[in-house]
Amino acid sequence: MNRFESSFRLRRGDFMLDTALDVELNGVIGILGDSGAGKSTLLRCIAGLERARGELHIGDTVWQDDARKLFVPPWERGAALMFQDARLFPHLSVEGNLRFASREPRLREAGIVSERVIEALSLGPLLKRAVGGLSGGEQQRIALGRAVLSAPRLLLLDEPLASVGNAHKREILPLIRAVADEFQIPVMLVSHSIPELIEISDQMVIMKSGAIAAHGSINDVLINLHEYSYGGDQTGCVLWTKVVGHDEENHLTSVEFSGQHLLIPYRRSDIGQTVRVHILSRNVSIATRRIESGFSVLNVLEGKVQEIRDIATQSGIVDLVIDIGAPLVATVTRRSLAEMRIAVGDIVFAYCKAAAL
Amino acid sequence: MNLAPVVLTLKLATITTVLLLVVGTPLAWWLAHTRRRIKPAIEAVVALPLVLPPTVLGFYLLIALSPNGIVGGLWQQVAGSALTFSFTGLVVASMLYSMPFVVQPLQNAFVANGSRYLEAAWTLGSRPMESFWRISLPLARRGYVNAIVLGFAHTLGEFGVVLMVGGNIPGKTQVLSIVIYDRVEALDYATAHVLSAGLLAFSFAVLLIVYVLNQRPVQASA
Repeated sequence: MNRFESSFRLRRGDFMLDTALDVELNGVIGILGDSGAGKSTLLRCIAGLERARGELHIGDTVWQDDARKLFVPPWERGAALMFQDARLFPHLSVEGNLRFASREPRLREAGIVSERVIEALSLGPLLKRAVGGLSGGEQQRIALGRAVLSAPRLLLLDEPLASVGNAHKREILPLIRAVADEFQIPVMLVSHSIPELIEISDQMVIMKSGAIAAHGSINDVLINLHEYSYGGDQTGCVLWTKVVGHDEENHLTSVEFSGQHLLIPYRRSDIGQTVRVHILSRNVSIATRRIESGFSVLNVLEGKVQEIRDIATQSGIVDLVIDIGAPLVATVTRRSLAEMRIAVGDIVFAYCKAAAL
Repeated sequence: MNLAPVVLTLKLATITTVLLLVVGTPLAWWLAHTRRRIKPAIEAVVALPLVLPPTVLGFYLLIALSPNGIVGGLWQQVAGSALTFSFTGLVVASMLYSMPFVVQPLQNAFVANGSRYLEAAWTLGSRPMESFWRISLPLARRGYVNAIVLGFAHTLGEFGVVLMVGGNIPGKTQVLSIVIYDRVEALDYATAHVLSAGLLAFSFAVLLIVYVLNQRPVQASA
């Protein structure tokens, strides 16, 4: 596993990019921020298309080091950048685009089989097509395939869903996740949408006006969203649960997380497979004892209160961090907290509706 | 009828066009991508033949290319023969004269394509030279077609520069347009008619073919 260490400074008119980012290069790293926060510029600096001042190391490999006057040009980095507008080469067929950077020796070394890439991204039926007249989703799938077939060390995706129609948005994210997992390519994914990033990221980076506001594992970041005053309503946690069964009749799937069970809306996954469950803090209710009957909420997770955090922006409510093997967050009113006399160290029962998962 | 001027004219236009593509491609590429402050000056120099009377251009070329001139003198030392009143001299003169007709369409094509596709190619590991051949060149196809046609056609029709630099030596520098002028002077309208009509028909045919081909989109067919 490689470490990604970077620092960039770049001025463009009124805009100033000034970032220092040091992360484990593994899985999917989501980069979140409003438009104009510098996300795309950061990706361009990493790809070598923009020449910022600073440095960039990938494990032992140096891509940029100003002190040593080193700057590896984009074509020697192996940092495939997939643009918002796909940028398929208009004079080549779909197959021509896919083959553009595909070199057998490099693919073999990286353990990537071209046929598998084409199959995983369902590109087979498109191969002979011209690139004109493809839908946004098709273009992104082809651009993703083209990038993977260049056997990159790092895949940089700039808002891959921005030009995809709503009907197909949901298809692309799992494909990106699949590419990262199956072909073992670390992915940096830029988006302005928290739900998109929560769905597939392992680590998350938040950018604000040209700087890194926060970074860490996805749960570290999601717990603290209020603090970064960024998308506080998405505060919560992601659980990597194991599928234990399906209730086809009621269209539910049963999953397990460190010895406790949850029911979630049906997911097409095999038993034993790992699925992500994102629990929003505002969908969690707290009880001091188990509610035995007469209650519609199906899921209860038992845990110990780890922390009570004030939310600066909204004084009427607090976040409870409950240790259930992962830091589950529950947003409750101060008044409830006071009436129930909950304190750090107490055992509580967190209820969350299956319908809200 | 003597076909030598026709052959000579086609030979001159072909060689000039090919050499201009070789020289014009890097020049057009540089003009399309540079941010140097000298760019407008170079552009103006390239465009000069568009506005200058061919006789003015021819006059200065005659001076520069003559054995006493800078270029002509150097050439005389290296090649052992004079540039003026020779076919080689005509090629050099024609290249300068037709330069804007080749460089401008290429430059416009490179500017229109921008660097979007090049950036994509680079991050996929394609080096600049490879990217140029596989991306920039095919995408600039229309620009090349226009450059070839305009460069070729413009050289075919050149008169003033040729007369100044090349004179009127049959088989060496006597091109079509000069023969036509010559025939008209000699009141040999019949030959002038044949040659003029031939040039007219040929030029129209070439332009027609090019514009028909250009109607097809650049996109690859399925």
